[in-house]
Amino acid sequence: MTTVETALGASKTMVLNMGPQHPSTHGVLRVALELDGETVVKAVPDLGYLHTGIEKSCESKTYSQAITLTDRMDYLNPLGNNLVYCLAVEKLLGLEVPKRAQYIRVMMVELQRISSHLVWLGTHAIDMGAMSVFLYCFREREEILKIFERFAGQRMMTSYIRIGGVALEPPAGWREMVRRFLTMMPNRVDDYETLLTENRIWLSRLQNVGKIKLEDAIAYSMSGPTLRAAGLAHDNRKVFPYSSYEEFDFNIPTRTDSDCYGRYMVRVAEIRESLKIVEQAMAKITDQGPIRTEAPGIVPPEREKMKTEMEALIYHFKIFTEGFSPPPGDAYVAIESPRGELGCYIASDGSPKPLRCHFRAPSFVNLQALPRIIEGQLLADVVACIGTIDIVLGDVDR
Amino acid sequence: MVMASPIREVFETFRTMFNGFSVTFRTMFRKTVTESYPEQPVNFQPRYRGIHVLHRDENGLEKCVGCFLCAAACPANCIYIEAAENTDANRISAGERYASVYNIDYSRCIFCGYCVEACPTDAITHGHGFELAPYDINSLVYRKEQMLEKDIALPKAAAAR
Amino acid sequence: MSERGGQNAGVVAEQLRTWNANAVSEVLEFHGETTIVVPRELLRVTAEHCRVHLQFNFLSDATSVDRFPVEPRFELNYHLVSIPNKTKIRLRTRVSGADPVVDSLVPVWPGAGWLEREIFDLMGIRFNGHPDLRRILLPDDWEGYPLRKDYPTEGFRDIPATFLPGFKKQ
Repeated sequence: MTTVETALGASKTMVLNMGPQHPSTHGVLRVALELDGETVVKAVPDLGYLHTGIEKSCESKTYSQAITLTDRMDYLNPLGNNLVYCLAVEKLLGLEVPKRAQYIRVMMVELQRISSHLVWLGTHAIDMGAMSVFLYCFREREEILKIFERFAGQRMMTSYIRIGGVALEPPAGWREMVRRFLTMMPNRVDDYETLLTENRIWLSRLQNVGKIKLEDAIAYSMSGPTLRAAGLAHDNRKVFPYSSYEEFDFNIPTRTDSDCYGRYMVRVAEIRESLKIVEQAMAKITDQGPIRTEAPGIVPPEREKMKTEMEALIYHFKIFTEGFSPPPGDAYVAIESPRGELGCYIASDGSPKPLRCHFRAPSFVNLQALPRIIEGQLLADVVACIGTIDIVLGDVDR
Repeated sequence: MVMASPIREVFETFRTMFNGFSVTFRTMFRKTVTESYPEQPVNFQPRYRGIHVLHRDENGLEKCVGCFLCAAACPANCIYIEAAENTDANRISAGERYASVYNIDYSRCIFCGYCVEACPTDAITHGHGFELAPYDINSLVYRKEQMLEKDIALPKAAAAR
Repeated sequence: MSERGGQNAGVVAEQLRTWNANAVSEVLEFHGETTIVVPRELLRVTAEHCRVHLQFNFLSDATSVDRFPVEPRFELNYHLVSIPNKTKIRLRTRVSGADPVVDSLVPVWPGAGWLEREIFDLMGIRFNGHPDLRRILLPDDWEGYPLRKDYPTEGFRDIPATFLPGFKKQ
C-alpha cells in the first residue's frame, strides 16, 4: 500500500523558514530550520536584512559626527555604543576624561543596561506567553527613557556621550528623578520575579532548554550573560575596567546551569547589580565640576568662552567644520554591553575621518552559536533559545 | 525541575499561580501611566529635540548670520543655506550676512542636536514640535519661514522691509 | 586594556619568539596595546600556539583594514583575550591586494567563523579551510566588496532602465 511516507521517499525532513518576519526573532532574522518531525536537525541563520553599512558610513564622517551613527546600531543600547566609540577615539588621542564625566557616563550606561534588560525580559516573556510582564517591563523602561530625555533630549538616540566627556550638564532635578526610579525599581523587579521565577509554565519552558557547555561557549566567543550563565564570571567591567568601573562595588552574577533559565536568572540579577552601581554613581557625581576635558581643537569649548574669547571661537569653528586629526595608529576598546562584549576598533591614518571603524557586535558573535544550541531541540524551544541569547538585529547586521 | 510527589507539584503550582495573580490584582489599583496622546498633549522634558526653531534677537532681527556652521556640523547633510549680504535698506540680521534660504530636509534630519551646538549665535534651537508625517515627502523640506519665530512685535528696523 | 595587560603582552611576544623565531616579524606598541605582526603563512600555527600554550582561549574580535593604495593593502587583526591571565594581544597579518588569501582560524576557534565570513563579505579576503565561506550580511549576488577603499560610500548606483536614453515604453 502506498502511504504518504513511501511517496515521499527517503527524505523524512522538511525545511521551515522562521522569519525574517517572525515576531519572536526580535527583528528581521531568518533561520532556515530542517525539521524531523518537531526536532530541529539543522539550523542555518540568514542575516543581513537590516544591514545599513554603518562601518562604511563612519569612514565618510568626521570623528564626532560618527557618534550619531553608533546610536543607531544596537538600538537598545545607544549610550553603550556611544561610550565604546568615544573610549576608542579617546584612546587614539590619549585624552583623559574628568572623573565627574566618567561617573555620569557610568550612571547613564547602567541605566541603559537596566532598560535593555527590561526590554529583553518583557519581549522574552511575551514570547513564552506571559503578557503582563511585557506591559510591566515597558512601564518601568518608560521611566528610564524619561531620564534620558531629561538628560539628552532624546529617549533613544541620545548621542549624549561625546569625545572627551558628555554633551550636556546634568539637568535641573535629575537627582530626584533618578532617586525616584531607584526607590521604585527593586519592588518592581520583585514583582517580575514573583510572576516568573517560580512559575511552573516558565520553568518548564526554560529549564534544561538551550544548554551549551562552557568550553563551547568560550570557543564560540560568546560573551555577556550567556557566558556567565555557563559558569564563567567574565565581565569586562571587572576584568578590564574602563570609565572608573574599578571604583564601584558590584558583583558579577553567574549560574552554572547554562540553560535558558540560567540566562534569565543572570539578567534579573544584573538589573539589581546595575541599580547598585547607579546608586553609587549618583553619590559620586558632584554638583559642580567639568563635564568635558580641556583639549583645545578636539573638544568644543564651553559656550560662554566661545562667545567671549576669540581663540575659543576659532577652535569652535575649526572643530565643527573640519574636525580633528588623531595621530596615525589604531585602538581597540571593549566594554560590557547588556548583550556581552561590545568592541570598537578604530584605525586612524592622521586624517579627520576614521580610516576604519569596526564594531565587534555582541549579538552577532553570540548568534553564531545558535545552530549549536538549537540543533536537536524542539521547534518550540527555538523561540526560547533565540530569546535568551538576546540578539538585537540592529547590532547583528549593523 | 523534578518534584518529589504529584501532590507537592500541584500545591507548588497553585502557590506560584496565586502569588503571580496577586501581583496582577494589585496592579489593577495602581494609577495608569498611559498617556492618551492624540486627545491629550504629550509631556516633553525641557531638552526635548523636536522641529527646529530659528530665533530672532531683541530687535526682531534674525539671529542667523549665514555662517554655514550648522550645515558643516550636520552628520546627515540635511541643512541647505544660501547667504546674502545685509544692506542698510534691507537689514535682516544683525551681522554682515543673513540666510536668504535656510532649508532643513526633515526626511534626512536625525535630530542629533549638532546644529544647535555648532551655532555661534544661538540662532537655531530645537523646539518641541514633532508631528511631521506628511503624505508627500517633498513637503518635509522646511523653509526658513516655517521655522522662524514669529511672535515678536517687530520694531521699525525690521518692519521697514 | 590596562597597563597590566600591556606588560604581559610583551612577555607573550618573547615567548612566541622563543617558540618560533619566524613567527614574530614585528612587535608594535601603541597606547598600551601590543600588536604582534605574524607572517601570513604562520598565522594559523601561531594562533594555535597562543591558544594551547599561552592560554589565549577567547577570540574577542577579528577585523580587517584596507590601507589602499599602500601595498600590502589589507591588514587582518585578531584580538585575543586570555581569560585566565586577563591579558589581551592583537595578532596582525598583512595580505596583498593581488592575493588576498589567508588561512582560516576556524579550526582554532570556531567563533572565528562568522567574523571571517564578515571580512570576506565586506572586504573580500578569502580564508583557506573555512567550512562555510559565504556572504553573510550582503545578498549572495552582490558585486564588489563595500569596505574596500576603492568602493564608493554611496555604492555603484544602478540607474533604472526607465531613466536611460532610448528607453521605449512597451
